[in-house]
Amino acid sequence: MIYGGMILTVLILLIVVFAYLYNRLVSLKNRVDNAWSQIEVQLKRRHDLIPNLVETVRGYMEHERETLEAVIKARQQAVDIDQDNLADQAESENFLSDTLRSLFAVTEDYPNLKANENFKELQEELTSTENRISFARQHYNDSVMRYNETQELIPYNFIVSFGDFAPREYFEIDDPTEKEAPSVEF
Amino acid sequence: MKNFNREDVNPETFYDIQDDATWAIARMMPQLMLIYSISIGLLGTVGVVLLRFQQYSPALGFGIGWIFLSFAAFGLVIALVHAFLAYLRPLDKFTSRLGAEPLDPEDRYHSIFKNVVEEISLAAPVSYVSARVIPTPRTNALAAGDQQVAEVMITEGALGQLSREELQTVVAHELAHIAYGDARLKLFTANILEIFEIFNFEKISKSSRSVGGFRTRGTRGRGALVILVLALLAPLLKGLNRIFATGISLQREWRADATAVEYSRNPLALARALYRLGSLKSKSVSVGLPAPVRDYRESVASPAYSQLLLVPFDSASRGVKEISWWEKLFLSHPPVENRIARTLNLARVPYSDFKRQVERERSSPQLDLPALRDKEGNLLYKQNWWIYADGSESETNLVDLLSGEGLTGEALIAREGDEDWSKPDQHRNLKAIKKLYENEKEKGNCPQCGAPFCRRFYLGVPIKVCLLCGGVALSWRKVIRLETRHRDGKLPERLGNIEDYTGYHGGEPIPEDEMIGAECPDCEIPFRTKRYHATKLIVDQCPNCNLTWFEEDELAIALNL
Repeated sequence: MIYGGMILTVLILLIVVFAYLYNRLVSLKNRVDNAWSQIEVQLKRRHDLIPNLVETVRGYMEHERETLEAVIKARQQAVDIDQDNLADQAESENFLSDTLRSLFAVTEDYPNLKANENFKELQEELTSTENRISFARQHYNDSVMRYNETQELIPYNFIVSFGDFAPREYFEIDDPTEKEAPSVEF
Repeated sequence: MKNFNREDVNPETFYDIQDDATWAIARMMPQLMLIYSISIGLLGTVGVVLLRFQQYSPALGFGIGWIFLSFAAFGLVIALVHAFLAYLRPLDKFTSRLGAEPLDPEDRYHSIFKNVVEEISLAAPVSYVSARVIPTPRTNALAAGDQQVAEVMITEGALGQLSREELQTVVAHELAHIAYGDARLKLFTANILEIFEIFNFEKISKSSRSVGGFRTRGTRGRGALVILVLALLAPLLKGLNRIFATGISLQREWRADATAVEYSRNPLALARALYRLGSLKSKSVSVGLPAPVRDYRESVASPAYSQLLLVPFDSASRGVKEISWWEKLFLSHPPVENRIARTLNLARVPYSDFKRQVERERSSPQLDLPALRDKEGNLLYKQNWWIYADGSESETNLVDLLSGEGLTGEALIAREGDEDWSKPDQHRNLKAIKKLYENEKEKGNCPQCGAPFCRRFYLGVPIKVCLLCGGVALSWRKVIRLETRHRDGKLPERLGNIEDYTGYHGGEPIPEDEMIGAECPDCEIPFRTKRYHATKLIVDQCPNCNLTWFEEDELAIALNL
């Protein structure tokens, strides 16, 4: 009787501990998913802003048709890409960032454009969006790190096989210096 | 930038600081509960002891013990009520007390602040954050709320001083407080700690005199005794109160700094922000400061609230130093210099390089408001230019010209500095000017010349300008914004030396608070004259809405004083 009670207690305790660890893994996994959806929201925001930017800039920059077309093309590529392939998506978004950066570099030669209130507003929005993308990416990568790390830690690595917990991929960029967004000084 | 020698580097990372602080906070909680129960319990004990004492010495007379007991009970009730209130609606109470206001969607700096808050909240585990601004030239920032609903507040002074990157780190610091629940806890304790302000000796001696209950009941001596005991007790309670606030605060500040680095990944910018906010003296009080700003200063100066701020209210730079255990008891924040040093270590940047970088002079662009420019940047019209309708011999002003019929022709314009002003040779398309003018027209008319205002931005602040006389109308909020954002520009040459306008050197007394002819465009009340800070400059202000009217060039002078 006493032994039965003890075994039962130990069993219940084991189940509680198992449930706790399992739930923690699930919540970490959901955090990663949530962080990922944040990146997508911000990427969409950028895709929506670019046509506005091109429209505003076009009037001022007749001689920079090539740069503008490169931006439009890069945006189209980023919109059309297969959303499930993380590496491809990261690559096309990085390419879009590059073309945007060269566009902003060119605008330095057009003081009237830089003085335009409309353009200033757009530039601030775009700067902010670039920042949001990198912060969302940072948050995603931090969440992935925590999730992957937890899976490898000792009590958790036994739990992993009981559920659908595969390690996730980081959202990486090639060159760390490319993380900088175009900056604006007022 | 120099590299650190490997031996010099303290290999600390922000994860290390976070772990240290979290452990220290965990150890601290039991101690704090002890201190808190002591401070409420102390009053009760004194009461009970006095009651006992009274049995042997009836000369003490009626219930001093009871008075203490009721103080303790009263304190407990207030604490409970405050705790309850703090639990119910901490945000509303707090923001209204500090005079925080919603952002101005037209102001450039405000929209940058809004963007920055949204950016950083992506990196922090916080779901909804609203942003507010406290209209005061002081430099500070604070946060209130929890992970569900949070609010980040910043003063106009801080907003004007910080670059975008620095702003990010400040917001990250505040969001760290929210993510760890510090903001909620601090607000909670701030509310509870308010009860200790009851035991402020000066207040008590005043109120006991005014209540007069002691006197009617008998001798004055008894009332004096109560005051004496309280006078002895008050500093003790105040000390305990500060220790309590400190214990909650100190380690959490370290952790929030480390977490701000985690969110923003920019320790250098955090160090710069701390330097700017911690060591700068903000400009003196602005013209015609209304009530909310004064309230901010009072409430923030109280020890209950100063623990909530980014940099404490009375922070003065004293250099990096060791904090002794005794000082630790009374500090709500680590000294700013220590925070800068530790943050710089995370960036692995030596202090000398940092100092050079942070003290680089920045200057604002010159004020060039009363002008019309087209898309290509060509100057179409500028204040003080002479303008002639086509074929006409006499000069006219822009507004009259544009209100005329048949705007097909060209205007002839004589520019400032042209050799012969009476023979204009510059042709301008009137239609183009009119179109620009209509686009930029603002509500309201110039109090001096009656022409409609034009809308302009200076340092991100939308302002109303008269194109004819060059006058500028500004609300007091916008005056504060301009003052805090402006950095040593140069006075246009024609205005002479800045010394001519600073200080008042005797001579004729400056008439202040006199009614003048012009009326406030919003309230239709005559302006009154007002001295701008303690200078010779006199500006006009509406006594009702505090709208300030700067005549031509007065704004440029005021900002450079």
